[in-house]
Amino acid sequence: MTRPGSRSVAIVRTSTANLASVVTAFERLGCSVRTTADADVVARSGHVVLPGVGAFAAARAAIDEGGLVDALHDRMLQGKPTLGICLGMQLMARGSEESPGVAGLGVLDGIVAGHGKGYPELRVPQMGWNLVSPADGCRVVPEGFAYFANSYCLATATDGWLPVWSDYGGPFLAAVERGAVVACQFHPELSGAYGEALLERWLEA
Amino acid sequence: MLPVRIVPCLDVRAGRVVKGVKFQGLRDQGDPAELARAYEEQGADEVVVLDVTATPEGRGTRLDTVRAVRGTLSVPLTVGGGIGGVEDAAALLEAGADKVAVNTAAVRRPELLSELAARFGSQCVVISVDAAAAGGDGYEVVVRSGTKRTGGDAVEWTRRAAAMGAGEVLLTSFDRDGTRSGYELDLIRAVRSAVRIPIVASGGADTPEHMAEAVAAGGDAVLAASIFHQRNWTVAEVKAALSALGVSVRPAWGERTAPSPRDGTRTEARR
Repeated sequence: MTRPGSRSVAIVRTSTANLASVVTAFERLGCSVRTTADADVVARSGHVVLPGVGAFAAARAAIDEGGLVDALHDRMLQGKPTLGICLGMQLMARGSEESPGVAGLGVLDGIVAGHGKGYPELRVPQMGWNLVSPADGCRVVPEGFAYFANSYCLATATDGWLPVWSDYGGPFLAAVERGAVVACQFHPELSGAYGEALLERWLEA
Repeated sequence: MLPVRIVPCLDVRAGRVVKGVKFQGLRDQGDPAELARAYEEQGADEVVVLDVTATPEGRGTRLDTVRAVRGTLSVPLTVGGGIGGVEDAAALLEAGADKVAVNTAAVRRPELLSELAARFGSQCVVISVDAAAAGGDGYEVVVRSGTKRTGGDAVEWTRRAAAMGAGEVLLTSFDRDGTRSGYELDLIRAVRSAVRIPIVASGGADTPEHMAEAVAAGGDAVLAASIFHQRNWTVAEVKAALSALGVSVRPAWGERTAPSPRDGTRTEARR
């Protein structure tokens, strides 16, 4: 059973992110929510969300500026409950073709690349609801339709992380999870009842 | 192709949902937050809020309306109306919008689109194009809620807007708006052949058949207002009917498929 107000979530404030949707999604689940750019808070909080919209380099610069790189990297490796959303997931990779030469956190293998190469018919950005299919053993990400708004994605699985696949001009990683560390290319906070179920499972992970 | 998005549109004036014909004769339709929540429960894939009188009366979109809608809505929210610059957009995003739709200000100064895309990403930037049939051939851009014709070609303007960073086009036929006579299909086809970004088709919806036509013409999402506000159709009924027409729609969470056509039979008595 959940006790409204008893759960707290810290949402990393990157200058590029619009946070209201993420904040209100957790508030609807009865969480007490704070936004933060403080490395100590990121290191110590029970549940941390790394959201992000915008460009890869700008988001990387934002977490550098706050001195958040080590705190985020360490808690992901230690398995502390952490949720990367959209660009937040991409930041966990080694880098992105969107911003060549800019390093990601390197928690996930592979380089983020553009959707739809070789498919001129494909709409870019991917904007809308796509079916996501978790691998056996996934505990947080359910099967269902989730809302995406992205031009770039990761298509390489990482050893030790359970993949959740989707397809948009070819297979790509809709999400990955390793215990309570979860990254979603889609937006659970904008994915209606599906997203609420996911966030609830993550809070209990 | 992703499932076609069904997008109820809330035209808001002074905190209330209104609807007119060709942007005129606005009549009250209800509370924005209540309607948004009801449409999400019916299966809306996202919601658009337009402050229809923002530009003519020279005031910004009401942030309190956006906050109220965001508080109840857990699907994407696009907000447009009276966005003059990057700071206006930032305020709307902070209040709870996920995408901002710009229209008049971008026509006046197209660089605004690049500035918005650089700061928030293209997936956040919607170019709202209101198009009216030109005297001879093609379509002309109209601005200031349809009160001013620009003479600019709507298809060429959309292409330029996409190149400058818009990640989606909200394509409204001024001639069809509120008329319930079907979408302007030639306009959708012309824009589809010109851009790679998703098209939200708008203006003229009366039936799911109209929506299926708009999808066949190249629409990725179909926007409608009157048919939902006046309760001729629920979103779920529209989705069931579209599914029966062979159009892929998103099923409700927990359902493997879209609602069955039987659930979606329209009762003429409700019209």
